[in-house]
Order: sequence, then C-alpha cells, then structure tokens
Amino acid sequence: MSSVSLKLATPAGRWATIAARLAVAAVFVWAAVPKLLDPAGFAEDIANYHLLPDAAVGYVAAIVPLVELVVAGALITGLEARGAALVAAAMLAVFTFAMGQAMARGIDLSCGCFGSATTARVGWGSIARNAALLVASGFVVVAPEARWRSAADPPSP
Amino acid sequence: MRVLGQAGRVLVVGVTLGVGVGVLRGFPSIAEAGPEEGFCAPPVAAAPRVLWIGPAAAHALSGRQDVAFVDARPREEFVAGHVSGALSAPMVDGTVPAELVALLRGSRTVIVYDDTVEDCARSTRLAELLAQDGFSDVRVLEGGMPAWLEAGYAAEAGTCRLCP
Repeated sequence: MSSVSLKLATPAGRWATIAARLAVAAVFVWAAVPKLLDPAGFAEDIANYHLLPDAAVGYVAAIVPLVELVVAGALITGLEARGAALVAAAMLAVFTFAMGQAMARGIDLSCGCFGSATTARVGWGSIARNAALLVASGFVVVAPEARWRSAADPPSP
Repeated sequence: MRVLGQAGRVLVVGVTLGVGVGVLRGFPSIAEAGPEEGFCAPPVAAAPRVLWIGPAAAHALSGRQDVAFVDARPREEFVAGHVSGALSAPMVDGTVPAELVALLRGSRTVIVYDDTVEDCARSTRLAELLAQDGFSDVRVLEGGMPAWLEAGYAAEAGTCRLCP
C-alpha cells in the first residue's frame, strides 16, 4: 500500500473518499440523463466540437451517457469504484481537452456537458468544474477501497 | 494493476450497454439533430466552418452584447418582420457590404438566418462569406425566421437604421 493510501485509511479518509465518489457520481448521473433523453441534440453538440469524424459522432453520442451511468453506479455502490474513478478521470481529461481546444480556436459553443437541455457555454467555469471533478476522481483512484459498511469502522490493527 | 483491470471491466460494461441501447433505439445521426428534412435542416456535408444553432439556443444568446443576428432575406421581407435587433444583409449578388462587416466586428458570435427557401441556401452562403471574412463563430439558425416566429420569440417590423 502506498503512503498516500496509508494516510487515507483512516475513518476521516474513508469518509472523504466516499464523499468524493458520491460527488463525481452525482454529476455523472446529472450529465447522463439529458443526453439519454435527447441523443440527437447531444450528437449535434459533439459535432460542433469538430473533433470526431461525422460517422463516429452517433456512436459516441449513444455510448458516452451509458458509460457515465455505469461509472456513476460503480462509484455509488463501491463495486470496482477505483477503476470507475479512473475511467471518470480519463473521460474528464478528454472533455477538458475538447473544451480547451474549442476555446483556443475562439469557438463559442454549447458545451453539451449536460446534454442539450442546458445552454451552458464552454468557458473557464466549465473547465474549472472539470478540473475539480478530475481531482476528486484522482483522489478515489489512489484511496484504499472504502465500502459503505466499513466506512465508519476503525481501521483494523 | 488491479485498478486498470477494474477500469477495463467498467468500460466494457458501459460500452456494451451503450451499443445495446444504440442498437435498440438507433444511433443518432448529425442530420437528425436538426428539424425534419426539407425544413432548413443542416446538410450532412455542411461546410466545416459553418455551425448550426437551434432557435432555443439562439434565443438564449439573443440578449448578449457580443451576439449579432443578421437577416439574409430580401430587404422588403426584413422590413415586414425580422428578429428584434437584427441587421439586414440581403444575399442578392453573393457579397457582403464592407460596412456591414465593420458593424459586426465587435461581435463574438454572429447568427444568420433567412426563410427556409432551398434549405437555407442564402443564410448558409452568408455564413460562409462571414467565416471567410475572419469571423470564427458564425451560426445558421435552424428553421430560419419561420422557426423563430413559431417559437414565439421577439420580432419587430421596420427598416434597419444601422445597415449600409
């Protein structure tokens, strides 16, 4: 076990890990549902980034929200939670890169982060939110496994 | 690495479910993202620099100082009724007056529209010309003026006092 993991294997560390898991999971559920309800709108948002070939946009629009839901489910239940946090971190890194390149090219577009239901634009706010979620996901990846039942238990001697 | 194995399993489950749901519901295509075909829908092979915007998203931007609306229809149609605050740039000879380009320089986003004749050919052409003039974010309004009016968004009649 690494020194980081040892420090997090305290009750406070376990609670912090669970809080980080739930925070990331909540945002992922919130992000996935509108995308599932309006896949065509989400496909349009992806296409506006001009990062993917047109043929791939539909598949990505269908798959991303389900991956977000599975990640959220794993983070909530604690089953494969660290792996789910790693997937969440990788997704957030890709999303942040896409936003950054859009801003660098001066394209003002709807971020599509929460489907087409919201009109949130790509900007420093959305990048800062992703960075915070990235830190929370990274925290879960390095933390020891923390199941619900063991969260309040003192660490074993 | 145990974490990598877990991540792989999570990804496999997510992608499998995504593909499964996609097969059942059908994968969305970009052409589907706009209104129905023939109703000013974005063409599949749109010019890469011309982006489309739905009426609701355009309306959400309409109050902003750095967003301009430009009407590509003939001047008499503009006078009869146009998006509130829009500038008029009739696409007659395929050029954009330099004075209009100068007026738009302070705008970060330019939203162009016309009616739905020939799948928005005039507004698409105007958007391409503005993109060539260096505007990095030019959008074509899906459904044009009819969709704007149908949604009940603000419109006004009269001439364009600022326009060249």
